[in-house]
Amino acid sequence: MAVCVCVIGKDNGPIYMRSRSRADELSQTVEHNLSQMAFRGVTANTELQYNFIVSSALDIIEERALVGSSASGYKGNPSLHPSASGGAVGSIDGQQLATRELYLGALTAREEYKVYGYMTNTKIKFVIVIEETSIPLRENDIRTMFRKLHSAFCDLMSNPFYLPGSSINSKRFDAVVTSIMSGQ
Amino acid sequence: MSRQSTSSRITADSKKVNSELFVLTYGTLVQQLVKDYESVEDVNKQLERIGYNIGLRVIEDFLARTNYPRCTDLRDTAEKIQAAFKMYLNATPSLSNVTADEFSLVFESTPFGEFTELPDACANLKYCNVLPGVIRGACEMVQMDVQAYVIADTLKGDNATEIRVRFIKKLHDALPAGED
Repeated sequence: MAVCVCVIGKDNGPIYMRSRSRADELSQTVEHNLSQMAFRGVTANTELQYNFIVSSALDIIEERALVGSSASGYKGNPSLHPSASGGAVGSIDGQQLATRELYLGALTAREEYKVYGYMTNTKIKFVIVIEETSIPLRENDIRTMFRKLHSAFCDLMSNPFYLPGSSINSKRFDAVVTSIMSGQ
Repeated sequence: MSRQSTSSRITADSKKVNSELFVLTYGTLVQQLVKDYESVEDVNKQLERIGYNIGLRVIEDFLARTNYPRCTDLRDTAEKIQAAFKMYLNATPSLSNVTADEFSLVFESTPFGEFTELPDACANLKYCNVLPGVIRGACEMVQMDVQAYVIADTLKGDNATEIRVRFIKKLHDALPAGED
């Protein structure tokens, strides 16, 4: 069960955040507060917690992305590695061309949460926090979620009235996130 | 919408323009107008004028391609406009509320509005307002004075997008467009 969905822009600033505590509401207020959050602290404790989880995941995303592009073998925990097919390398004329996989896999695992990441080639990052339940989610389900999110993001970018890089305030995008968080 | 199939669509037909490209282009045009003009009403007016100018030209192409004879009544005209939408936009509006001097073109969704969400500041924007302009311009070139306007818009939460066309009068020995 996804409890938090976050979109992070090119410059690592959050442009959309929605957590389950607010899932029934529209996230407008959440986004609004986001910029001040880091400095002022928030009333909602859980939101701060999610914010913290997502922020800490960013470092790992960066590291992962680097690994993907330099195409060196991943030497960490194999269970956290984004699957064997990730980071395929094609060698053309001695020049190394790496096709990075967008899906970055599980980033961190805490006791009660698992954090998954996805980065588009335009450096927009999606982070989904999954609450650990007795029935573990399959890797494929997570991929589907990210694909849905990515597709919704593409549609959003196609909206002529959306300014790229600004915080997301779209009913259509909200609806997709709601469907992701409610488990499709 | 599925972006997976894009690669197959690229090779489809070199004479046709990709609909997404077209939708994005139109969106940018509207967005730029919104930026340039202070009031949304002005934007609506400009869109209508753009459409009018398109209509003046496109009717020539339409008649040349289809070889349609003179219309007998307004229903005939409406059906031809319907055919033109199919031809140029691959959109098939349905006709409804056809009376002796009025009819409606109903689209299932707003043409060009596939990705658009109107911001609150543009609640009165008639996003597809070029279309009434095109109809007015085209009809004027065949000596028909009509009034066309958007009365329902899916972007504003209506079930369908509806363009109402009202016949006003027949133009006799009208000056060629642009000389009045």
